[in-house]
Amino acid sequence: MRKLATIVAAVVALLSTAVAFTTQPAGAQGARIHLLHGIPGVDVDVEAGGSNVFEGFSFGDTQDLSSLAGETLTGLKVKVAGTDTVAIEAGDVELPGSGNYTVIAHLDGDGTPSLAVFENDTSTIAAGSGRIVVRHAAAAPAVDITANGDVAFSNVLNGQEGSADLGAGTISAGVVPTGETSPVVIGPADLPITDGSSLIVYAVGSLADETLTVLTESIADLGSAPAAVNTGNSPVGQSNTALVVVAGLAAAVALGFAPRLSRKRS
Amino acid sequence: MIRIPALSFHAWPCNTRQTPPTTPRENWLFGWLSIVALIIVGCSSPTAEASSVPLDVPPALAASVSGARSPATDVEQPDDGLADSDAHSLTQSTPAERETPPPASTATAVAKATPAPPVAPNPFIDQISSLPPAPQGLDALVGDPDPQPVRLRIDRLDIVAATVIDVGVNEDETFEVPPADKVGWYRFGPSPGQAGSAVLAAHIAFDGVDGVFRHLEDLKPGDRVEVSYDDGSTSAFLVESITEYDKQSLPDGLFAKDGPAKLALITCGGAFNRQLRSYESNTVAIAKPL
Repeated sequence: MRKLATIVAAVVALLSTAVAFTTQPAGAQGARIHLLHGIPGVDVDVEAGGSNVFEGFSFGDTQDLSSLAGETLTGLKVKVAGTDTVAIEAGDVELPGSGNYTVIAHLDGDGTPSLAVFENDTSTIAAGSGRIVVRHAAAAPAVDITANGDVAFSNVLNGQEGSADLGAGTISAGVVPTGETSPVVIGPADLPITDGSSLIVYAVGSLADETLTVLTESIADLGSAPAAVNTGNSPVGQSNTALVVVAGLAAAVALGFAPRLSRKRS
Repeated sequence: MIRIPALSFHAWPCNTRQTPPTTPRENWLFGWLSIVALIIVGCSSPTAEASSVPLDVPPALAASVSGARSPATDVEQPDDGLADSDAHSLTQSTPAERETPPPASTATAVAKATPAPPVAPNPFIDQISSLPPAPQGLDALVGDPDPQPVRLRIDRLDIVAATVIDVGVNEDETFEVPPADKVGWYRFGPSPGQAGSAVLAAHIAFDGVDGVFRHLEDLKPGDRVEVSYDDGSTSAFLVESITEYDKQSLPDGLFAKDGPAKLALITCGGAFNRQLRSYESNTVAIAKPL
């Protein structure tokens, strides 16, 4: 039985995320595993356990495999939709027992359909910040990713990603070939940096075929509440208390002495 | 407001692991995938442009596909491999065919002889569920914001039209409390009335000056709170509870971004620590939409 990591290594020669799978301890912690279709224009059926588990899987479609965490998908095949033409013969695939992954069917740098596994960073994000992750999953050369006009990540290859936690708000992001300003691969476009959320942007499609586009994915609830709400730096009624005391004394004086004075006068 | 300098680039660990020596099995897989990729390309791109997609399969790999299959399968999948499964089904079909009555038998006999093989329920199909498709493109990501609160009215506290401004967090991630005469709406949470816990916070006292929420603890359940928004609308809330929390133990849900809509009014309370110039508690009033 081969792990998905092995398949990725063998089929795609994209060894990067293999580490994540092989080092991931299988356990009952639960996992979040999404399968994303990132090849424009190709519909597929996916078979496992001897029959189709879902059909007509189209570009952008997403399937949730989380319930199968720690289990082994036997006889996994990706077939051209409505046919028996096997696109990917994946064999038995052991899914991790814990962790957060997105498996994307995409084109590698040469335009060959491939599976890539990205482990999603679900570490806690500071209050007031959001996470942006840009992943190169397109048949395109190395790219630079720009943020607000500056190159934020340079020379990003297919299968690689750039990631940053930024103050919540909006940034203008774009993708261009490394060291160039054109042709524009993506954008620049406004991206929301949302407090406590991770926005994952996949560059997919093919530069040569002019099918480049993006898919996005969000992971929420990674944020923090403000560390504290410090709504006071002075004791309440400091000045008021003094006034009350003064007023009280004045009243006492008035009540206590005024009659005496008046009596004296009388 | 946006800070870019902290950007870091995380190259995938792939840079540290290069292609391992390929086994015949892997060659087999790669070869088949390449072939299959060609099939996909052929099926999906009937136009001449399809030829622009790389079609060249390395001859060595192509050769290994046919040459490596049998031994690789034998070596690496002795038990449950796909090829073996196929082999089993083939051998099993032979005796079944022998038992098939001759063609001359009656229709009932034929029907009896070819019962549909029991289809084992797929063990995975019920555990896989469709999710909404991933959004395509970047245009729709920045949506229209909800109306933002601009004024607050609480008759019980003689707050007639306190100014509400949007606030975030300070450098140290503490709540960015506005000046004493204003109320701060936490812009990273929901707007009052939207799903989740909308937070309005104001000073109890700052530099000896009473803050807008000086008397927040005097609220009573059932008191009315009115919020006016930047689109001219107003909505009303009714106070449900007033609670004093240790400042380090605010409830988790106070800044919830989803769940039932509620409005949290927060100020300081409890003992004042003169050394730290800070209160030890927070007074929190929770109100629900009317």
